Amino acid sequence: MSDVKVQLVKTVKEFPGRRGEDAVRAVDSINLTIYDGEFFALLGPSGCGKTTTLRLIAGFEQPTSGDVIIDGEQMAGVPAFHRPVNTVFQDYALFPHMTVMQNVMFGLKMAGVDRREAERRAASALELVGLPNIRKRRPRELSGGQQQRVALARALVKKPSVLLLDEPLGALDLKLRRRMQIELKAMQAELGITFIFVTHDQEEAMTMANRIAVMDQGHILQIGRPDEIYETPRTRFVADFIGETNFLQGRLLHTEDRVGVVDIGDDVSIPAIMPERHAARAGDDVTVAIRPERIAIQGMDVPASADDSRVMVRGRVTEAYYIGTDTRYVVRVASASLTVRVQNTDYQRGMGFKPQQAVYVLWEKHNARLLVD
Amino acid sequence: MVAGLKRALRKHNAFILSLPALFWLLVFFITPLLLVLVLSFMSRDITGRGTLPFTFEQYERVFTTFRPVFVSSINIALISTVVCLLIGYPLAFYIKTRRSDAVRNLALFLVILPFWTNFLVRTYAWRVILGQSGPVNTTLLSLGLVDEPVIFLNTQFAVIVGMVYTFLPFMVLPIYASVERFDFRQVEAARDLGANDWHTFWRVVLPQTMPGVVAGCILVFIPAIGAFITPDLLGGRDGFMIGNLITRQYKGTGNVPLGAAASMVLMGAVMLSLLVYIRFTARQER
Ligand SMILES: Nc1ncnc2c1ncn2[C@@H]1O[C@H](COP(=O)(O)OP(=O)(O)OP(=O)(O)O)[C@@H](O)[C@H]1O
Ligand SMILES: [Mg+2]
Repeated sequence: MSDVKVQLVKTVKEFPGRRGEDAVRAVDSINLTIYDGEFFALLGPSGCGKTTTLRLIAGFEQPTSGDVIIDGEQMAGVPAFHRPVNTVFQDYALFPHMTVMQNVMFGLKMAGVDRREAERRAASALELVGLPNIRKRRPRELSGGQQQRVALARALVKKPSVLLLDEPLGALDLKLRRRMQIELKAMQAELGITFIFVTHDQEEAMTMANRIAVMDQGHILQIGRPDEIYETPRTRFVADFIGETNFLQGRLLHTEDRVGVVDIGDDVSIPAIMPERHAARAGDDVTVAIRPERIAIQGMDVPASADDSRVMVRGRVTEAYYIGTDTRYVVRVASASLTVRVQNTDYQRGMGFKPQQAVYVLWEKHNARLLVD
Repeated sequence: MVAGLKRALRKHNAFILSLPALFWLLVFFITPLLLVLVLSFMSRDITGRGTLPFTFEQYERVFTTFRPVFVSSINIALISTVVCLLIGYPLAFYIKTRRSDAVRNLALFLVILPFWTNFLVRTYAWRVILGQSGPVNTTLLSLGLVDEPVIFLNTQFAVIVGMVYTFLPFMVLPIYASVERFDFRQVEAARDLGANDWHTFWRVVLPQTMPGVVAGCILVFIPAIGAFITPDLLGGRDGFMIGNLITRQYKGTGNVPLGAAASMVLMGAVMLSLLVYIRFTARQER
C-alpha cells in the first residue's frame, strides 16, 4: 500500500489509579501502522482502550511512553490544535450556542480563513453531508442523525489529513446507522482522507473498514483485512468477538505440514489448520474453532462422502430452531456441542432434521482452525 | 346561578389564585413605593419631613450637589463587581474541576460558610484586620515593605474589600451553576478544530457560562450600589455612598424628600441597567 500516515510505536497510556486502586494501563504498548487513504477500524469491547488510542492520536492525551507519529513527524509536544487531524466525537460535542453554520465555520475561522471563503466552504461541506437547508438552526433543534452529520461536516471542512471517528453512529437507530455506514464509506472513498474509526460493533467494522485492529484490555490482538480477521482469527478472543464460532477442546495428537490432528474425545479426531508461529506440540490441550455456517448436516441415509479435503463426523441433533433465513441446529459430536447454521434455500413444512436424529456433520478441512489461547 | 359562578371561577382561575399574592404586593410593595415617589416631589419642613408644595428641587439637588456621591457609588459598586468576577470565575472553575467530590463539596461549603456568622460581626472583623495595628499592617511592617502603618480604614479601598468579601458568594454560586452545566468535551472539540487556549475561552467557554456571569454581576452590583452598612463601618467620609446619603436623610433631622428622590434615582438606575440586560440577552437568544 501507499505511504504511512499514522504510526504508534510501543505506545503506552497509563492513568493513575484513584485512591488505593492500581494504575490503569488503558493502552499497553501498541504498535500500529495506518496507511494513507485507509479506512481503518479499531474494534473491541467496552473499556478496551479504543477511545484512549484515538485521543492519543488526536493529542488530547500524551503517551506515558512510546511514540505517536503522523505524516512522519513525531507528535510529542504538539498540541491538539496543531495536529493535522480532526475528530468526530462520540456524542458530537457540537457547540450549543452556535448555529449549524457557525459550528461548521468555527474551524475555518480559527485557521484565519476569510469570512466569505469560510461561508462558501462550510456551505459545501453541509451539502456534502446532505444538510444544505438547516444552516440557521441550533444543535438542540436537530435530530440525532442531523447532529451526527453536522459533526461530520464540522470536521471535514478542515480538510484534515486524518479523520478520527469515535463511535459516530452509536446513537443512531439501526436503519439510519446502516445508511450512514454506506454513506460514510462512500464519502471516505471519494475524499481519499484516512479514516480511523472506533466501534465495538463487529458488523460495522466489517462493513466499512479496509483493515481492522481488534483490541482487548489495552492490547492489539490482531490486525488485518475483514476477511483475514474472520477467516483466520489467531486467538480465541478474536474468533469469539468477530462473528459466531464453535470452540472444540481437545488434545493435539500429532502435527504434519501445519495441520494438527486433535482428539476431541470419544475416539473422534479431527484435523485443524495451525496458524503461523503456533507453539503447541503433541500432547498439549488445544482449542479448535469452526464457524457455524461452514458446517453442513447430512442424514445417515445419504451415502457417506468423506475425502481428503472434507471432514465428516457422526453426531446427534439435540436442538433445532427455525429462524427464517436459516435453521440453527445444535449437534452433539463426541463430548462437544456444535452449532450449525443451514441456510433455508427452500422451505416445506416438516423438512429439516429433528432433535434426536442421528446425522453426519461435515466441513471443508481448512475451516477448522487451531487457536492461540 | 351556582353553575354560573363555578364557570366564572374556572374561567378566571389564574387570576383568583393569584389574588393573595397581588394583595401582598399591593400593600407591602406598591403602596410604599408610591408613597416614596410622592414624597420625592415634596418640600422639606423644619423637622426634615415632607410637606407641600410639590417641587423638583430634590431631584435637582440629587443631580447636582450629590452627583459626586452617585458617581463614586457607581464606581465602588462596579469595581467590587469586577473584582468579584475576577476572583469568582476562576474559583468556580477551580471548584468544579476538582476530581474528588469531597473536595468539591468542602470548597462550596467554605464559600457559603461566612453566611453563618452575623454580617455586622464580619464587617467589624474587617475593621480589626485592616486597622493600624491589625494583622495586615503588622505583616507589612515586619516584612519591611512599609515604614509606617498604612491607612486602610475609612477609604474606598476598605469599602471595596468589604463588599468583595460580602458579595463573593453571590458571584461564585451562579457561575458555578453554569460551569456545572458546561460540557468540558467542548474544550476538546474547540482545540481539535484549531482553537488555541485564548480562542477556546472567548468563543466556547465564556459564551456558554455567560448566564452565570450576568446573574452573578447583577446579584453583586445591585446590593453593592445600595449598600450602607459596609461603607458606614469601613468607608468613613472617603467611602460615603448613596446608601449612606439616603439613610442619613431619614434619620434624625435629615431631609426625607431628598432621601426619597435619591432612592427613586437609585432604583431608576438599577431598573434601567436590568432593562438593558434583558434586551441584550433577548437579542442573543434569537
Ligand atoms: N481519564 C481517565 N482516567 C482514568 N482511567 C481512564 C481514563 N480514561 C479511560 N480510562 C480507563 O481506560 C480504559 C480504556 O478506556 P477507553 O475509554 O479507551 O475505552 P473504550 O474502548 O473507548 O470503551 P467504550 O467502548 O466503552 O467507549 C478503561 O478501563 C477506562 O476506565
Ligand atoms: Mg470509547
